[in-house]
Amino acid sequence: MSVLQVLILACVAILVNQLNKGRSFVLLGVSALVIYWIHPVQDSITLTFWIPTFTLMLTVIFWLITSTLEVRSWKQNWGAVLVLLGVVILVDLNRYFQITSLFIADTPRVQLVLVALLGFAIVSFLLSRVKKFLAIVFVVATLGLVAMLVLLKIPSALTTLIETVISLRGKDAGEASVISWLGFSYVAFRLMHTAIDRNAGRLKAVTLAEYVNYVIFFPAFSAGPIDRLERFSRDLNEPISVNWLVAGSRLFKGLFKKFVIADGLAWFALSDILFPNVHSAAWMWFFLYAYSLRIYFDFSGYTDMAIGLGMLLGVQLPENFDAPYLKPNLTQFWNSWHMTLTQWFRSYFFNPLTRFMRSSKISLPIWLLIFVTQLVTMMLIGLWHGITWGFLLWGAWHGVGLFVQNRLSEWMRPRVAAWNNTPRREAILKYSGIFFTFHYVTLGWLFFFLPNPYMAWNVMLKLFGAA
Amino acid sequence: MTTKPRPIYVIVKAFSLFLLINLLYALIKPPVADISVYNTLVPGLERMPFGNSHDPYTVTMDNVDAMFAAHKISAKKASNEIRVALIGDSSVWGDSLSSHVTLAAQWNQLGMQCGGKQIKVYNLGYPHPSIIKDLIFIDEVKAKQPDVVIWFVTLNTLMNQDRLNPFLTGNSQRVLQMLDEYHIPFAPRETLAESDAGFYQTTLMGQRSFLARWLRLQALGLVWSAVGDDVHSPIKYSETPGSLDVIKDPNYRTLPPGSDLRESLLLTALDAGHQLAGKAPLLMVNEPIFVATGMHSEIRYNDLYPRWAYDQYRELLAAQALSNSWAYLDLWNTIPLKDFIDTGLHLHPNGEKLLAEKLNPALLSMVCP
Repeated sequence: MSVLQVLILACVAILVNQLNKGRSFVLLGVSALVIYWIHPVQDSITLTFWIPTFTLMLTVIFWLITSTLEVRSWKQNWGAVLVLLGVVILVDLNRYFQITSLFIADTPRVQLVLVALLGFAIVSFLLSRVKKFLAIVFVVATLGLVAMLVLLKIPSALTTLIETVISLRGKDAGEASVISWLGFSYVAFRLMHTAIDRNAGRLKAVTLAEYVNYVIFFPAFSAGPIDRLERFSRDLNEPISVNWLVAGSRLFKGLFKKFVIADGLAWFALSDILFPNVHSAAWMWFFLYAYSLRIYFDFSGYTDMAIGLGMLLGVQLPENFDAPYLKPNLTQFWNSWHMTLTQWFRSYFFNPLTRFMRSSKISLPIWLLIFVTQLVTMMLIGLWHGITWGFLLWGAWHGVGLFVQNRLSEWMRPRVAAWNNTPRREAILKYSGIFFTFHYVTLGWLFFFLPNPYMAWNVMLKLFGAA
Repeated sequence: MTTKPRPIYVIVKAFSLFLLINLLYALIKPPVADISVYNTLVPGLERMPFGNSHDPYTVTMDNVDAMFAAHKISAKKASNEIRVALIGDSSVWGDSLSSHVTLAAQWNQLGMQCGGKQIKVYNLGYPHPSIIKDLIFIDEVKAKQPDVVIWFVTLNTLMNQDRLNPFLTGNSQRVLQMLDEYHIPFAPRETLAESDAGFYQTTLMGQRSFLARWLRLQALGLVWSAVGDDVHSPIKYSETPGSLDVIKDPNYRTLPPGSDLRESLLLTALDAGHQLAGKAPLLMVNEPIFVATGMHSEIRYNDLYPRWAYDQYRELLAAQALSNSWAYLDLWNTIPLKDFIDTGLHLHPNGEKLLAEKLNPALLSMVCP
């Protein structure tokens, strides 16, 4: 998003904030419009319309799966249905309005959209009638979501799929080169959270307006944080009490971090274009530090903006960063970096996996259990960013790092305890921990941003003067 | 006891401060463009800064003062130096080439000397074919004490334009002054005059694009000095252009075959350029072009120029040079096809080296008679 877009959204948030009644519906309409507005234009132009529409449809389907009869009544939800239908049709009508500054004008024909909406309404109606085999529906829906996520994270697979679909329609398959589904990683994780918790009986059912608002809440749509439905719903239903100065300063802090610091650091940040030209190890370190700081300021800047915008709307989004580069070990780093994502993985993967392995008939030594669970979790976190060898290795780098740190701290604790008896020694331990953790994380970024692990390895050799 | 700040006061204060800073900036007019980390903290640039949208480590700067301040020609001239300035468009700048293999760089690699003095060639090309831009550069370079100015021109350079470009609008006052002083009938003069800076353009807000690019230029100095080059992703050019065929169109822009080009060429600007060079000897060069041999090559030399227009241009240029006794070299067909990277004007590093070798005797005869 650009500075102008953020400022426009801030003004919109302030206006929505002024509403005493119907805030939930207005917010729903605004969020739905925003996801069309900020979606990047696709090579296959009508996909720019269909992708946000699919996001809305998918969200409604998951609401149907996770809701109960009590909250599914027409009386409670007609407003949300009308708002969502209205937004989809309004955006589609831009083919007549031609307001290209807001959205593409090459939207699909209205008849086609109406037929799609009718088909979707029939599917939704049938889904709402399902009373048996709900557990199977949950599993199928969640696995389907995982499959979509995997597909979207393998660019070549998705391109092949789209090209096949286009070819089957008798059109030139060259139309589909790259597609990007803005915010899908976050949307999918919110939907999975509701499906899993609902299936486990931990989640209270909510109305359509609350549910869709939670999933596509515009401040957090494209870059998180990943909130929890019950917490979000509580804020949404409470009367608004905004501390304007806190909200405003958080928003401007985010703008400054992203558009001044991070974008300024981008001029020096190491990349696949820059690294072949850097011949000195010292400069390579300098550019790598710039990258490391840039990714932090960029991402945490977006989070600050999201939290600031959320505050303006009366929603206190969860924190995502807590000075991660100042943490003395890797465990603490991961407790303060992209916190909502790690919490998600902890809740829905790491803890269940650990429980499963502990309760399995094969008895594993504790160190092996820690190693396997941490490694697999971190590799999955890596793959969440994209299914490439680089992301997998980045995850593995952190998985191994967490394991080594875990074992090392166990081993060191009694030995250090006797030595660590003055404030000076405590400080030495703390700052050397920060130093090593920061450098371990920074070196790990090489796997994250360079196009392939071979390049990352080459840079690592250069950094240590071995190439 | 502290009182809770009221948001409205904060907004009013912020807005007032914003207005005040903008007004102060407009009143003080700080000479930002003259400030540069180049030639002081980091080495001066081999060529003018010019951006490439695919390369995040580049920036386009169209303010002449800031451009020259970043260039190595702004460093103090050594007593044993003979300074040669190359003025021209993208072919002189070195489109798609590393700064180490441009014409100027390869010329310097010949290691020329004269009477114990080192001949140093400076790349002052800029990827925009405009004779008005060239005049501004020739005027600016005077202060850098050149011993020779070599001015590369081509048909596109001399064509009177119908549109403005960011370079001309970015230096509008200077361009307008130049047009008036030398009576150059530049077509979009009025549009340029209308776009000339109002008060808003002098405020911090009005200058924000320039300031952002200036800041980026200074920051990139660190990157460029670290890697020793200003372009980090030169294209992977093939040995020869893919096709030797050209388009069938016989027109030159909107002009049909047989049109009189004198009406469309800014020939008066050539005279202005020679006057602006002052005491420094000026050699004018008609730069080499790709001469296609494939389909429709009987109509056009290449995708840029139909034969009729280019032949007429060469005749006019030669006649002008002869009548004014200007030093002039026509090198239009001196570089073989294999030494181009495209079917226009841009040379392969081998072509740049060949061109330097071909120009060298003329240069030596000027500086080392």
